[in-house]
Formats: sequence, C-alpha cells, structure tokens
Amino acid sequence: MRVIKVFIDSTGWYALLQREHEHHEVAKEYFQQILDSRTRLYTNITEISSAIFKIKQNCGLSVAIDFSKLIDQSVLSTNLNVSWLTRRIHRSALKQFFSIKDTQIEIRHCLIFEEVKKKKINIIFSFDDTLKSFGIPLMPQA
Amino acid sequence: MKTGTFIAEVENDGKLSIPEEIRDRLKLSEGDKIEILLKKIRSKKFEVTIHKNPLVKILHLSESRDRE
Repeated sequence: MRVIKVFIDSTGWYALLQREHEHHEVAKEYFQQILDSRTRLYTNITEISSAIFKIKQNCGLSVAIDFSKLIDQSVLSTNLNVSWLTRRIHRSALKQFFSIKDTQIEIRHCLIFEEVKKKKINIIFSFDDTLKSFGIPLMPQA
Repeated sequence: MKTGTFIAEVENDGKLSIPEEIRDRLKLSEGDKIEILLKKIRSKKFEVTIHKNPLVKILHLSESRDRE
C-alpha cells in the first residue's frame, strides 16, 4: 500500500486549533482521516513557529504552550517529521523567491515548496491559496 | 511521550491483551489511538512497546482554549 506524505503549514495547524476559524470543522475532519490512515506527516520549523504565534494571539497562552508540547512529543515519538531547515534549503528557497514575479509569494512559501520537493510530499494541508501556484494538491478542499 | 513495555502472548486469532497496569499508566480508554512496535523475542513471545500518538490530542485542544 502506498504511503501518502502530507505537509501541514501554519494555516492548517491554526485552523485545527482555532474554534472560530471558518474551516475548523473541515480541518479537524481531515486531520482525523490522516491519523486513521497510513499517512506520514511533515512540517517545518517556520510553519510551527508561525502557528504558535497565531495560536497564542487568538486562542490563548495555555493552548499555545500545550500545542508546542504536543508537537515536541510527536517529533520524539516519530509521529511527525519537523524540518529544521538547512542552509541549502534556505538558499534554494531564496533563489526561487527572487526568480518569481508574483508578489504574493513569500519566502516561507518557497521554503515549503523546497521541502515538499525534497521529501517527495504528495499533499499540502493548508488553507493558503497562494500555495496553489506551485502545482501541489492542497487539502482539505474547503 | 507515554510508553509502556510488556511481554504478551499472541492468542490464536492474532489478538494481544494490554495489561491493566499499562492501560492505567497510559490512561488508555476505548477508542484511543495507539502505535505498536512489535519485537519477537526468543521465548516465542512478543515484547510490545506501546504509546499514544500525541497528535490525537490536537483534535481536542481547541475545546480547552482560554482567552487571556
């Protein structure tokens, strides 16, 4: 059976934690499906950091602390693969960022794309439509 | 990460039982998701390392949120 690899960006993490987020229920449902299936989960440290910031701002300090602890436990128990971003990936992302004309694309989008390319990831769990321009399937379909 | 290790004997239909002590220590209840690593040992029994997938708890974090 083929193992699906999913990258979760900060908008995906945030939608899971923020009860009032317009895609909260869809995000939870999709995340549950991921946990129930043979899916490998990936993220990177900039997406985690950005998610923690938004969660602290909108859901409260204790939720942000609990979330960061769960991420840490998940990494230690090998249920989640967090990329710490190497100089090489950062350099490739910057190169791509400077070559793109679309002003909506941020460096973090290019970092995600480099990670997705390197790890051969199939799907991005995100609600950030900007990522669609990289041609990788975005889930869940909101 | 909560883990527990125990020796178990495989029953004829492939089932394994988790000892009560481990269930209590990991606060396992029906429907909880766990990950199992099996290791065959010489006595033809299995050593089982078991732990909850911490990511399952993320689904419940939004319910415990507090505005500060």
